[in-house]
Amino acid sequence: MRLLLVEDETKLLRSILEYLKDEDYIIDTAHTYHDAVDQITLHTYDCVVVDLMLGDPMGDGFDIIKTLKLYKSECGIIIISAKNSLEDKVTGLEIGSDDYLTKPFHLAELKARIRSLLRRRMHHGFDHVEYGGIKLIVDKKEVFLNGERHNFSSMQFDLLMFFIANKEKVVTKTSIADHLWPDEYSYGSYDFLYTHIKNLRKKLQAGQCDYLENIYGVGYKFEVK
Amino acid sequence: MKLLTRHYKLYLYIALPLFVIVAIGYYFFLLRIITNKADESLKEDKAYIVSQLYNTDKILDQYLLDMSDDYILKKAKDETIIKDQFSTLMIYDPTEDEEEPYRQLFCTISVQDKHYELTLRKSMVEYNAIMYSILLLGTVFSIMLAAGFTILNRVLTKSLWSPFYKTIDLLSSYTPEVKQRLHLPKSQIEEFELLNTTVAKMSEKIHNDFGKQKKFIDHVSHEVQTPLSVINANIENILQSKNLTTEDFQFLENISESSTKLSKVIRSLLLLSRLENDQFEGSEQVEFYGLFKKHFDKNHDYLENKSIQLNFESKGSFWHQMNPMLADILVSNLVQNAIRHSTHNGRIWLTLIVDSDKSVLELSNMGKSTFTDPKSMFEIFKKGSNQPESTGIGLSIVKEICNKYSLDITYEVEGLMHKFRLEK
Repeated sequence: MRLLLVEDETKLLRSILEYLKDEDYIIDTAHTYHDAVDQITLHTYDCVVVDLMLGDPMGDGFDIIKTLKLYKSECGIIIISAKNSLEDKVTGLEIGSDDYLTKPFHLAELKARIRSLLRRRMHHGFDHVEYGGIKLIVDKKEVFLNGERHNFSSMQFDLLMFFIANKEKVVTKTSIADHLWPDEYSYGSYDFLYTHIKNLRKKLQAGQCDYLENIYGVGYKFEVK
Repeated sequence: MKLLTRHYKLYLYIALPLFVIVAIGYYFFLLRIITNKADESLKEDKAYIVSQLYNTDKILDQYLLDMSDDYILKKAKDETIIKDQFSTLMIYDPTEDEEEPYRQLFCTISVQDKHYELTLRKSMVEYNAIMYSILLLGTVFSIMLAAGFTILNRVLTKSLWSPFYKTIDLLSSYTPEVKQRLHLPKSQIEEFELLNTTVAKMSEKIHNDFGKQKKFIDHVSHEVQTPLSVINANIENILQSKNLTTEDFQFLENISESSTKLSKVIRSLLLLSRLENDQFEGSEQVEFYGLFKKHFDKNHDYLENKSIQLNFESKGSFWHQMNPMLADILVSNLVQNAIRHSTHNGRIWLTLIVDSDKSVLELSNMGKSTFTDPKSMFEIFKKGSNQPESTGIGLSIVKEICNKYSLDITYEVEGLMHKFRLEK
C-alpha cells in the first residue's frame, strides 16, 4: 500500500506519520502543489490524503485532485480541510474525491477512514476485517466471534470497526463520540457512550473476545493481550 | 409613479389651463373680428341709405318707417343728433323658434333739414356659425397635435430609457456571491453612461469586499484549525506512550477538551460572520416540523440517556423558503439546546399550530428555573450557569438565521418551562 500525504503544516504531517507507522504502508509526503504533482507523476498511489489549502500560489488541493484524475489515477482520495463548507464538499465529490474530513480531526478518525477506503478498493464485495478471533463482514454487518455468529446492532458494529481500525492504540472518548455521532452535537457528557461501550463489551465477552481496556477515564484501547 | 406618468401629469397641469386661456382668447379675438366686419357692413348700408335719401327725397315719406325688420327709418321726434351706436341684441325668430343674435346700428340722419332715426340690423347667425367652425377646427387640431405628441413621446421615451431599465434589471438580479461580475451595457446617452460607470464601480467594490471577507474567513479558519489539529494530533500520539501516569492522562484530556472547544467556538464565530456577510447561496422549500423530528431522531442516544420523553403534536406543516443547510443548523441548535437544558426524566414538547395567516412551532422543555432575562437570550456568549460545554453562540446563530429569512424567534420562560416560538 502506498500513500501520499499532502499537507503544508509539517508538524501535522509528522504526527500523522507517527500515528500510521504501525500499519505497513509506504507513505510519501508533499508540502506544496509542486511536490505533490512530482510525486504523483513518479508513483502509483492507493490513497492520497490532501489538504485543500496549501498556501501555494501554484495550486490548491483541488488542483492536485484534478492532476490525479488527469493521470487517470484510481487511488482513493481523502480531502482534509479547515473549512466545514458544504460547497467544498460537493466540489470535492464532483471532481472525484471519496471522503472529506474537517480540521481539527482525530488521527484515529483519519486512520479509520484510510483503512476503510483502502479496504473498499481492495475487495470488491467480499470486504471483511479480522482481529484476534473477531471477523467482521463489512457489507452485511455480520460479526463472527471465534467462528460463531453473534448479533450486533448497527451502532455496536460501527464501534467495533472503529476499535479494530485503531487496534492497539489509545482512542479518546471524544474521538469515539465524534465518530459515532455527527460532530455538530456536543453535550460534554459521555454517559450515553458508556452505555454503548458497556453493551458492546457484554457481547464481546459472550464470544470470549473482550479486548477492550479502559485507559484512566480518557479513552479505550483494543488489544489482544 | 413612473417618470413618464409624472411628466404627463405635470404637462397636463400646465398645458390644460394654458390651452383653455388660449382658446378663450382666441374666441374673443374671433368675436371681435366678426363684430367689426358686421359693423363695417352696417356702416356701408347706412351710407347707401343716406345716399338714397338724398336722391329720392320725395318718395321718402311713403317708404318711411318699416322697410323691413332690418331697416327701420323713422322721423325723429326732435333734432338731437345721435352718432352711430352699435349694439348686440337677441331677437326672437319665429321660423327657427329661437332667439338669434343681431348686430344693430342706431343713429340719426339729417337730410335737407329733415331728421330721421335709422336702425339697421344684421343677423349674426352666419358669422357665428363660421366662428364656431373655426374654433372647433382649432380645438380638434390642437387635441390631435397633443395626442400625436404624447404617442411620439411615449415611443421615444421607451427607447431612450431602455438602457436605464436594462441596468436596473441587471442590478436587481446581482448578488456579490455570484462568481461573475456585473456587466452593464454601453449607452450612447451621457447620463446613463455615468450611471452605469458609477454603479459598476460600486459593484466592483462590493464584489472585492465580499471576496476579501470570504478569503479572510477562509484564512482564519485555516490558520486556526491547522494549529488545533497539530495540538490534537500530538496529544493522540502522546497518549500512545507506555509511561504515562494517571495525572498525565488527565492533563492531556484537559488540553484536548480545551482545544476542541476552541475549535468549536472559532467555527461558530466564523459561521456567524459568514451569515452576516451573506455567504450562503441558494434556497429551497424546507419543512420544519419534519426537520425537528429528524434531529430529535438523530439525538435519540442523548434523549435516552437523560430519559427525556418527547411529545409531538402537529396539525399541518411548516414550510419556509431558505437555504437547507442553514435550516439544518437552526433546527440542530434549537434541538441541542432543548436537550442540553432539559432535566433528567424531563419532557420536551414540539407543537405546530397552523393558522390561516401564520404558522407557529413551539419547542418547550422542562429545565431549571433561570434568572436570565428572556430578551438577552439570543445575545452572543450568554449562557446559563453550569454549562461549560456550551459555547454561547448557538442561539445567536439561530437568531441571525431567523433574521436573514424573516422568521420570528422568541423565548419565554414560565417557572420551569422554557419555550421557544418559531413563527412565520
